[in-house]
Amino acid sequence: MNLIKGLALPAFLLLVWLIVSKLKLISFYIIPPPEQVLATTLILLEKGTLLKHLSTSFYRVIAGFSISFLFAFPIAILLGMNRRFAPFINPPLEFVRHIPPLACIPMLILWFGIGEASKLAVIIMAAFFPIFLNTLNGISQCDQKLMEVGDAFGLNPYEKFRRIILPACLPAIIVGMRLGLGYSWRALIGAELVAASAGIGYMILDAEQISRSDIVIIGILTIGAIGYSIDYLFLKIAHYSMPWAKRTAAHDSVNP
Amino acid sequence: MTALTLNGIGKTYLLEDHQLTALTDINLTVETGQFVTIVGRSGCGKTTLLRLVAGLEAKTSGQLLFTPPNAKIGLVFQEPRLMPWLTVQDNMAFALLKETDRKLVEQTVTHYLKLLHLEDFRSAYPSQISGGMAQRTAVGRALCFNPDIILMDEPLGALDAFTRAALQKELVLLFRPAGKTILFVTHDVDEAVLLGQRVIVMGDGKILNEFAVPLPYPRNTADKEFYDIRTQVLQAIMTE
Repeated sequence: MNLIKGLALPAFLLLVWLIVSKLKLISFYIIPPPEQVLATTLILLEKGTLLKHLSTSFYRVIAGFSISFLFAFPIAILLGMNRRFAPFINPPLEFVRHIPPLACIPMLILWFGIGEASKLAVIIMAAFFPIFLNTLNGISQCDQKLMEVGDAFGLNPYEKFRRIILPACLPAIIVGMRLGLGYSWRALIGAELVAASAGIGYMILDAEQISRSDIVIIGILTIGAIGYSIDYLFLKIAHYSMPWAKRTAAHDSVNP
Repeated sequence: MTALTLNGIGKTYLLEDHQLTALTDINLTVETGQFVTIVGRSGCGKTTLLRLVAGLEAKTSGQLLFTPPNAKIGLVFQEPRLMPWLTVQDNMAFALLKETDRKLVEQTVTHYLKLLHLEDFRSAYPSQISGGMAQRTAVGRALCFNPDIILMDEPLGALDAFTRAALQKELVLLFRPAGKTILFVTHDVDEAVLLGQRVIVMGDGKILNEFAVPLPYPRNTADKEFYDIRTQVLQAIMTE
């Protein structure tokens, strides 16, 4: 039932798009008809162009996101468990948090060149703060009453971390990862629009330069579909791994 | 044999602009296997006393002696404090995290699941069970720990009257045969007299009075002897 409700608005928009194109109310250059977009999609799929660009972007996101997680997660744990480091690390992190990764692209290209490294750096920057802040928030909001239970049963600090803190902040970590993935996609497309020779962002920019608005629309819809699919998959994994917290995580997120 | 001795225990909190004395010169001896209830008004220091004995807070003065010195202490809080991500059986097994023999853990947990009538809910999460079941799980967790002394901080305080009465009966049936030493904090005079062999009355951070309850279990609140003791305890609290 929810699926039908969720498809109602897209179906309505598609219908409007169809009617507008059939009545030729707007130039096909500005909004190409749906059947043209569908035909171009099939051609791009047949030639492998779409999959090539998609796999390039996908690789960048997964690689950048994984590297970001490897940095953000341990730093958040370290800061969350040792509050005495917070005064040293919080101000610079708070400063960097407000800088959009895309603003750093010129410097990143200068330092890492126009290849993969600069794009990975943009994704790492974009995914870092959602993961970091949500993990940190999860640790700092861990119920002290549960920690007392750990004390009462003689758990040492490591056991308390493993048995209480980590499971307690797992929903927050998952939310941070979901947000981080979303931010990764947004930043990647931005980076590919500025400097790239492959990827969905590049495909959109290239299509714009040859006045193929149908390919631009395909690129946009592909980004949305992939982002939605990854998020859905993540949500399913989260529900599977946290059966006790099916509807809590999404409400406690920290948006950087 | 003495299980617990408190000699001149005091606790003072240092607040921003003043000191707050929570406990003053508490002297108490609890014999092994005794069920001792501590009763008093809210804020009289009974929970603080229990937290000091549990080692969750440091005393400011006095001596706290256990026999044996490394006695295991089990604690049941006012709220169940179950881990939301663990099932009922895993919450009970939480008390046995240091136990390496998994078979023994399973046997112990199964034993207390049966004893507490929680077998059918062993795979349920805390969010899926009632308040009474959750508190029974917390009691089971404390029992799995196999403590020498069990401390209970108003464990039935948040439950409805029917569940409360049922659990009071269960507690007596559970703990008396096991011969556990119990320190049970409550603000309910009836509950204190119903459960305890000794009732300690606290007020303003001190022990005001003590009453022996030489009545056999299970006790009846309608008995004259019960009523007399209850009245004495109530008067001791009221004249504070």
